[in-house]
Amino acid sequence: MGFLRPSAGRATIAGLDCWSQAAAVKRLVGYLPSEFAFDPSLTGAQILTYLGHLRGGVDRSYVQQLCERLDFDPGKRFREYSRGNRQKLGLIQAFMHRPRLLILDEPSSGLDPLNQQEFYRMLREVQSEGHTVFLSSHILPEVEQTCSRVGIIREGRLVEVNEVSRLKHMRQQTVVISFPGPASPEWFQGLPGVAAVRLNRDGRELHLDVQGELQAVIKVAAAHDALSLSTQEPSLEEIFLRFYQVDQPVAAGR
Amino acid sequence: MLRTIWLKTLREYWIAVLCWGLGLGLLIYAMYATAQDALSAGVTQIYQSFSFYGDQVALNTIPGYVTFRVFGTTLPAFLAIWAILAGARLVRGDEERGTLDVLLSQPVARSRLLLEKLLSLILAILVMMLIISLFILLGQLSAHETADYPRALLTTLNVGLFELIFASIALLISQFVRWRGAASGWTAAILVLMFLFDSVGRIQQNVDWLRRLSIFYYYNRNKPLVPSVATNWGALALLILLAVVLIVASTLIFARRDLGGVAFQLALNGRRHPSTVERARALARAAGDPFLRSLSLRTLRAQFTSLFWWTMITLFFVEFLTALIPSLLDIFRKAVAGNAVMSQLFSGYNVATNQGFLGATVFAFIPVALTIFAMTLAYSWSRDLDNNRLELILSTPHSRSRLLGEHAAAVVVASLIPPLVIWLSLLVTASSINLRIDVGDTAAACFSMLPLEWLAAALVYLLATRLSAGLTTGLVSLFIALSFLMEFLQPMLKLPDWLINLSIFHLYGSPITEGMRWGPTLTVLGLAIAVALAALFHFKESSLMARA
Repeated sequence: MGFLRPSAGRATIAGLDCWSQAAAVKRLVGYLPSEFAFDPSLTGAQILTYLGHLRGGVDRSYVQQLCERLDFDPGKRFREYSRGNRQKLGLIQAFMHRPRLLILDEPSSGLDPLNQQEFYRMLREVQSEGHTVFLSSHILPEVEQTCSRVGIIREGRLVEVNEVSRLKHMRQQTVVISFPGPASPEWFQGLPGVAAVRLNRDGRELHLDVQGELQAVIKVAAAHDALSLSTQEPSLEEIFLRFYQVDQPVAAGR
Repeated sequence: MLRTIWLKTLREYWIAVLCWGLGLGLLIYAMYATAQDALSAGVTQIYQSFSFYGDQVALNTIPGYVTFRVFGTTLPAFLAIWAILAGARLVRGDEERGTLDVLLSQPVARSRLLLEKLLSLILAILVMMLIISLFILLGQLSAHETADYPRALLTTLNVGLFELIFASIALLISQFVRWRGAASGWTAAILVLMFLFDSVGRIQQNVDWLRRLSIFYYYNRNKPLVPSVATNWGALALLILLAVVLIVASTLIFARRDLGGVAFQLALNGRRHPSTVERARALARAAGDPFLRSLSLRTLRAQFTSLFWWTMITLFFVEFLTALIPSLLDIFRKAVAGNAVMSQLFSGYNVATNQGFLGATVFAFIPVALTIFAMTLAYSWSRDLDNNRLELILSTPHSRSRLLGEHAAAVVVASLIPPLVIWLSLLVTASSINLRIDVGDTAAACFSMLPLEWLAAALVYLLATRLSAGLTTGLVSLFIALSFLMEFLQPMLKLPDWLINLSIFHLYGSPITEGMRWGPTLTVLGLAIAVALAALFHFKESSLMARA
């Protein structure tokens, strides 16, 4: 947004330099900061009108439609709004000029569950119109539900960028295999992709942490007359936590 | 200092206590130090025309003179600004910030919380009064008066009681309104009204009863510095009773009302569900507001109230002194001519003319007031940068220089208004009382103030790119204060040219008597433009997070 001067390198949006062409960049962007303040004596309607003018005019009927969808009362003063209402105001002003790119920092914080669902619908709509949404969030189920690509930042560096689906497939999954008789972890140790094998207490069930394809595991399981085999996909939260494990080295930023 | 609520609150006051205590203390000391010279210059004759301002008791003695000049109205009213702000924010400030919720979730009764906060306010006032009483003692010694500390202490305690009452009024009103600004505003209006009741009652014998409605009247019944005035126990008891009643009422109401709400809440507080029509109406109303069309218009609108009051107050001051000229000119001339020190103080002015009088009274202070005014206008920019109010504005497709330029343009327009209004009203008043003044000289005096105003504003913009709002205002205020003191005391200090030329008020000079001084005026203007350009460049190039 041209707020910080780069100490090195450059950032571009739609081919425009974020520092030297900041005004042109901001024309394309709808922005919601994680916490924002405004003149406390202005009403929501005044703030939306003011920001609309600063953006060169916006469609008032669309603004009203957004107010209706998020159940926002624009008649109150900014200082009278609760946290949730301020967030709605922030979302409306970010969406109101139909930007090509939305940059939203913790967009659903403070929203009640009904408004959160409405917000997700709004996100899907702009995505289906071909617009891009950059969403920063600590609520990973929300990211999983709304985003197609995820970037994970650790200690200020981007350590992973990938499709949510690929990220989940690429990462370890837990495979649970049941056998009719006593099982041995040695059957699977050393197979390609198998990171760990644990034996269940009754001795007939094995839990494997497997990375990548499962063909080799299935063959060995079949050879030992396995009764059932189930896989558990890791949630994004688990993937995220693995990146934050102390012993996990930080990869170079991309 | 963080062990109890009252200690924590006291901790928040110590800077204010020191600044106000030392500042007012120095003022009192200076008053004592110059009292004898002023009295021998026959200044009492002039003050006889100022009966609206205070009781004139033993005015020809040093304690009587100091009481009239400082303790009658000036000091209590001036310090009341702080007391009112402190009283209004005592609990309402925490409520606005949302910090009172956390405090009250602790096992502390509401009444106890309020009383603990009040205790620290009382202690802060007491310490401030102790500091001031020491300066009275020093003043007495410097004026070769008998040092009488008990009288000095009693004088300041009387002031302290006055301040406590106004803080308590603000506290009580803050229980009835939702915002501390509103509570301060209403209490300030009461302060002005009380002053007017006392003044009008003193001047007009037939409405003498008005004085009895004023806290100033009961406060001034006791003048501990003046030995000839006996202690009025009745007035003292009445003031103490008033303070107690106000505190008890505030405590009872605070213990019963909703947190964040107001006493005697009648409506549902707008918790109703807004309909589509109401939403559309709110949006349509805002769409018709011309002041939301650009940053400069919005800035002008936001500054309107401040602009109105600054213009009104300076105008009142100018009009009042101009109207006094015919009756005062003779006495003034006589007083100054008879004394070397006074002549020295006003040596730059030709007091024999109407314009000389205007120069010595009006235009010695109005440029300072309007420079401070311009600083407060520009301050809103640095304050908004500090509390992130500009983040969304800066995310709109405008360059930073344009946004800063628009804010500065609004400040330039606003700062033009008071000099223009003062000039026009001076001409109208002068012609209506048949006073001869030069149109060109008065225009020069009024409009030469503009570069000073713009320089102060430009300095705020420049410093705000790197420093916090508080530090920025502090530094610019210091620059203005030093400039004023250097110029005001120059006849005594006799600073070398290179040093005195650093004072913007010296560069302003006295255009009312000397006509337009193009050289110095253009120098300050050039400086203001250079500083403004530097501010634009720095703001354009710096990271927003890099501010201290």
